[in-house]
Amino acid sequence: MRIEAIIVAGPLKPADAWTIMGMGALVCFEGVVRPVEGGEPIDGLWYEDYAPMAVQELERLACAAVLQYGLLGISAEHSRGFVAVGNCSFRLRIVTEHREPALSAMSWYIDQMKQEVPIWKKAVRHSTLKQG
Amino acid sequence: MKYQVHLFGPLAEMACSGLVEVDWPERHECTAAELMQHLAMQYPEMGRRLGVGFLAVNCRRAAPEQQLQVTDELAVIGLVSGG
Repeated sequence: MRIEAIIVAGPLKPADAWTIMGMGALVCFEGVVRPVEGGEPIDGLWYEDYAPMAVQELERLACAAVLQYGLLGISAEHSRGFVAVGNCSFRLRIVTEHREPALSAMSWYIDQMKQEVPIWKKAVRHSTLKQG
Repeated sequence: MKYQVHLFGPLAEMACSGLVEVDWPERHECTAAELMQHLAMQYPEMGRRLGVGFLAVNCRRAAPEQQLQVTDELAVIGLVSGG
């Protein structure tokens, strides 16, 4: 069993290898900053979180997902601060014996996170960057 | 009594600050629900957003009836937008 939750400054680095005894499925979702928000081009997103509650909530949801879906492992990573377009700002990896609970847990976790974890994002546009 | 309350995201922008003070005129300590109502009166523009948010006390979601201490770390968690 492995449960991880972390918030790091800036874009997420590529994921390292993840192996857990008994695993039969590894599902990985990566959220990437889109070039357009609200119909307008952006340079990136600025993420603000309420630490340490944000990490506590990521962990709490991870534990709930383990119990609800029988996961072997779950890792949630989120960015803080500026993340430029095209970069990864959120990664969720789920390990199970079989495919279906991993896919269900993935959808459940992301839905819950978007409602409950105290993280906020704001579009950063070129004009904003110029103003400093 | 004065309570200090952390704000984030759009709520902080509306208040022009990530930390606001709430003056509580009563002698008794206020509850989470009372503090949220007081904030809504102090910052009417936040009203709808406060309605869908909740108060965190010492990094835990508070029940509306929870009594607050002035030493508690208070934060309003409005609509979140992570991911």
